[in-house]
Amino acid sequence: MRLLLIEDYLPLARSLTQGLKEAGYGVDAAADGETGLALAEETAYDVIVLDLMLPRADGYVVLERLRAAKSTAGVIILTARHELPDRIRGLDLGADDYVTKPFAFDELVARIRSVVRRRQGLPHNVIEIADLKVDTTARRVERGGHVIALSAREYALIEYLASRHGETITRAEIVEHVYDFASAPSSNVVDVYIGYLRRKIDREGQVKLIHTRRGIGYCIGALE
Amino acid sequence: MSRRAVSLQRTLTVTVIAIVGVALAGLSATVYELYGRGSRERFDERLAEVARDAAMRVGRDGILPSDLEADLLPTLDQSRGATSFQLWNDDGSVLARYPPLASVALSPPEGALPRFDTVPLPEGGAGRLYRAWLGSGPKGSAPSAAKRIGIAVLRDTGKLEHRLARLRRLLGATTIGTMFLSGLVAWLVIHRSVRSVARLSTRIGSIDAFSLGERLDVEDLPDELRPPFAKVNELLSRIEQVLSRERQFSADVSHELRTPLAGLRAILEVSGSRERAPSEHRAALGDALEVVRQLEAIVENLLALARLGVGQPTEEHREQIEIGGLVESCFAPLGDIAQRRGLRFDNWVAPTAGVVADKVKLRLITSNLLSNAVQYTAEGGWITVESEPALGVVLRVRDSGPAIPESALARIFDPFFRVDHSRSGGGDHYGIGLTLVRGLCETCGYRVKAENEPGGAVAFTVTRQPTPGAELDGSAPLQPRIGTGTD
Repeated sequence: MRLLLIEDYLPLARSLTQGLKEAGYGVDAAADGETGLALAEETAYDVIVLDLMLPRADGYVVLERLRAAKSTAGVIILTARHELPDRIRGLDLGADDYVTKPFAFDELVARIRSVVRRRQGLPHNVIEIADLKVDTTARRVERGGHVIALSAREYALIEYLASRHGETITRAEIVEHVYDFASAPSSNVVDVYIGYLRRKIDREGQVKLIHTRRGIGYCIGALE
Repeated sequence: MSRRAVSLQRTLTVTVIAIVGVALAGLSATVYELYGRGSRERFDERLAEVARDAAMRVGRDGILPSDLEADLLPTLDQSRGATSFQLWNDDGSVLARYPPLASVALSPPEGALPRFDTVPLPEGGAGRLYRAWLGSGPKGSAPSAAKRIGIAVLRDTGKLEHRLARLRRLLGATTIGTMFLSGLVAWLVIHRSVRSVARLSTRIGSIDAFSLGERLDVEDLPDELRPPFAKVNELLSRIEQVLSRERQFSADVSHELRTPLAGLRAILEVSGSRERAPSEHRAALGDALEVVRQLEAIVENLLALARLGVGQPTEEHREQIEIGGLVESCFAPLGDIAQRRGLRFDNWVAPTAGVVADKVKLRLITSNLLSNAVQYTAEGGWITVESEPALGVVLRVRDSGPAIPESALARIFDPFFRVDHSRSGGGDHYGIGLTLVRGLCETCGYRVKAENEPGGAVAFTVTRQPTPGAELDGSAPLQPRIGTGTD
């Protein structure tokens, strides 16, 4: 999942970036509204965490322009403004959720998951594909009742594939949604991680769930 | 000396009753006196008339008519009271007698002049007696030819007194009734006003911090009572304004603390969420410490502002302060941030520049102005500090901008005033730093103003009255302005 954090208070922005990265998200950070908008135009973020009082275009303006540009990213407003009219205005402008400062980090992450889930039309946090279960809350993957140990990147990849199971997903989409800019993936990093996942999930004797669409990308599902 | 509580209603009612009573009693007494005197005079005139009539009917020769009583009847008018009379000849022998009051022994008049007397009647009560010597015969006849006849007429005054007594009672009843009625009306009128006052005071009693928006309905009040309650309404408005400002201030303070608190919490939660290398923890603790320092600065400013606001006489230690050194020491803690934001700092204060002032206050003023400049000057800009005490300029902090919108210049010193976000860098508004600066300047007798300069630069200047006679040549001319301001 790719996140954009637009927050001008640097100590908060730094720790949130670190925490969200550690929670498995690809995170980009912007310290003002215009930079945030520019980043959001370049990349299809899954979720944007947006402060309201920002230098150069405040949060409401950013949100308005995002929605005017038909951005479908989930937006969570994260602000010290806790008055009712502010919340209503934020939600009416197209925010998916409104979190006031100070907040618990775990709650913010839970709300991000919830927004992602709603965006994907999933009813709950466990995605089931045949006998494969991806629990997005516990960040745990099971197959046939056995827990599969995955690295953070492997998990991020399987979660993204699982969230769009049945669809064919291009490498570019994977790069955009799974890895953050800073990690600057080499051209074949997707293939390398798909290889890791196959070794752990599609073991010998099991039905293959990860399929390659030659020249296009990948697909997960028990279709073939 | 304790003052006895006064009931307005009782006092006014009693006063009205007393005034009406005195006025009516006086009026009644006058009416009674005039009427009574008139009645008595008429009564006496009738007696004299009866006497004259009787004398007239006696012949010149002193011979009585056959039926004197019947002739006199119309004049006697017994309805006015029982009347008797007696006539005497000149020699004192009784000529005639009319007897209803025969029990009273009538005596002939003494002396030549007619006279009236009040005499007690044996049956009780009193009678009026008229005695005179009159000439007999019809009027107009020569007095010399007339015979002298002594006449006494006595009439019971019971009916007259009875009538006068009735009048007294009537006047008395009218006076007392009117006093009672006017007292009642006064009581009711005052009661109505007092009741509306009582109702309003109950309303005032029920107003608390949450219903300060309510206003007293003064339309029903008499004009005289309206002003104090209208003033209460004005007072309520002022309290409401002050309270709403205070509430806004509290909300702003809590808002001011929320963002750093959120930062602190996120740093600690993320840092403690997993096993980490000591170096990572150290970095997180460093970040946390930076936030704590910011919180401290906010709290320190809030406290200083609260002290100014309460008007407590803050302790003042006036001493000679070397401004250049003060600026250096105030800028030191901001150096890191300034460097990170690529700001160039120049302290142009001459080593000789000094003022006598409270060092704690001047330090807070300087720190806040510098902190404001470091925070809001666009990255890569410059900040300069000048001081020219002899010219009245205690401190001038200039920065390369961006400029403050003209509409915001006057209000930038208001607490938590939010300006266009183009000039907000690290924070999202000006907080209370500048409010504190203004408050401190006022207590020091200084003035502070913010100005935009050509080229987008911004200057905050703290001035005082120029020192009279201060030598101007001792101050070196200011160095030329650095021309690297952002355009």
